Amino acid sequence: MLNVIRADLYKLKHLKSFYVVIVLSAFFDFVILADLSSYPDSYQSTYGNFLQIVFYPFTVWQFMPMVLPLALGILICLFVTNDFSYGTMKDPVTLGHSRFSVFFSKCLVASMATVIILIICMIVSIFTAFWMFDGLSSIPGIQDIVQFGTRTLLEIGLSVALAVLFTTLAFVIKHTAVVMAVHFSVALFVTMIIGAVFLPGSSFFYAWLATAMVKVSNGISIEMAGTTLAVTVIYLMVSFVVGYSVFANRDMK
Amino acid sequence: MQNHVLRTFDLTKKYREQVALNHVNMTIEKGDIYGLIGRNGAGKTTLIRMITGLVAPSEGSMELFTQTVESAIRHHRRRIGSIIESPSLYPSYTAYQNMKVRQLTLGIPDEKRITEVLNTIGLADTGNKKVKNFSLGMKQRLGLGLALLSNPDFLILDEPTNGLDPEGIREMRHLLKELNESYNITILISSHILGELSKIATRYGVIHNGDLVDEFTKRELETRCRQYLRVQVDHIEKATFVLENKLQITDYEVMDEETLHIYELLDRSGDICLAFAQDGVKVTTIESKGDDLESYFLNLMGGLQHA
Repeated sequence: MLNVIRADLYKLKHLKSFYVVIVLSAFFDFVILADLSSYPDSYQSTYGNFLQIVFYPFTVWQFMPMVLPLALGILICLFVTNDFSYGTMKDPVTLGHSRFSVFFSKCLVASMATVIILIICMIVSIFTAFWMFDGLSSIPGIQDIVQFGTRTLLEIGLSVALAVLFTTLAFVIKHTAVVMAVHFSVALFVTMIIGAVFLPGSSFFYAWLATAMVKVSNGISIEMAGTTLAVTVIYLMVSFVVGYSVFANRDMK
Repeated sequence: MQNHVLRTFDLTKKYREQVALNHVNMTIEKGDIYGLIGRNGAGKTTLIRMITGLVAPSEGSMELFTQTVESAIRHHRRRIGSIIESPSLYPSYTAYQNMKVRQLTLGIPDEKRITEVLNTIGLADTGNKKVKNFSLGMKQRLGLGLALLSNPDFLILDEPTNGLDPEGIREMRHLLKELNESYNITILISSHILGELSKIATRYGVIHNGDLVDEFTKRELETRCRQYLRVQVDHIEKATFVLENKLQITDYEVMDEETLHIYELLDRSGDICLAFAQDGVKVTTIESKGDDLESYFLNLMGGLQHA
């Protein structure tokens, strides 16, 4: 299995879309924060220190909760369906690797790509918040750091679940154009429908991974963390089981 | 000691009502160059896909490198190098990068192996040229290189000479013969270019509508394709009497109620006609014939079509 993972990491490293998605996501994150920095009256009354500002791009469903799934949808579509299009998905199977190894590797590497994108966005947010926001009342304390760490981990968990979901869709559908359309539809319409119909305080925001990111960014509590973890695990497990079942039982041509 | 690389036992594949492979029992011995012959849609590629693990059988089983348990078979598949239908290549990668992905998937620690194989297949000088800009022949050679990267014990090639020019076909043939003779690599090769196949294969299997209808060695093929006199007469019983009793010919075959194939005295057709005439057997046609692999295959297919 390690060999398949190494090969997939090599392919990710050479996928130009990966770098484009990183740059665009980070840039979008920066633009949102840069815009907020123009309104000192607004942010100075809401946020105490720069660490609290970092999650601002995730607090509104039209911002990162919509852009990040779109970005992941494009990246994972290309990362997975390219192998189906070129016929190279067959290679590890004909070389003796199990279907489980092949599917797991794709999920793992897609998740790693997601974590990298998210961490880079966080780094950009931290630097932007530190340098561009003046007049904040406090320096981050231990509690702020713990909250920041917890939120980051929860956002990473939600993003990883999204990555595995998209990977599953790509394995089930296989054809690049159709997968891209489905990823776009899922990333856009589900987020838009829930975000537009329900208020951010509604529990329905937990029903979908992207809108759950808003919940994580808007408030921290044990109930929120527990619900977010449960949503993450459910989406992860269902996606993985469905994706692997389809791939394992399908003849490859 | 078992010398089989592959054995299949009633291997069957059904897609709803359609039977793609029907109870195929096949054996490939170590060191064979096994030529798999059949029309388009006969089941050759389906069989190859089942051997390489891409397609699960509906019924039957197989033994690969003496292993019968599925997990062991899967593990031993790394001893197989294959090209199935067309080489699977990353078009935006160079030849080296394509090999690199394969090297990583196989877990081969030494990168020098990539350079060795690229030299063997004549693609060492392609540099940064992307595979999407390769000719068909170059892609085919790269596909073969990928199959050889792991030093396989068993090479499975589905139409490997597609897109190659005559010189390329000759080079491929020499390379495969060398791999077989020097390294004892067993090769399963399916091809429509029967003339080329007949120059290299040591055993043949003929697939027709999912059935393995015939298996024979090169020697048996030579026997079947040997020269003969095709004689059409008006009285077959009298003709066979003349052959056996007057001409002492025993190596002959009665094809139908008026046709004989005679495998002896091929240069004495005049004497045969005279002997027939003296005994009142009228000869309507006499001609010298002999099949090559292509003619043999076409005749066989024609016979099966009408069966």
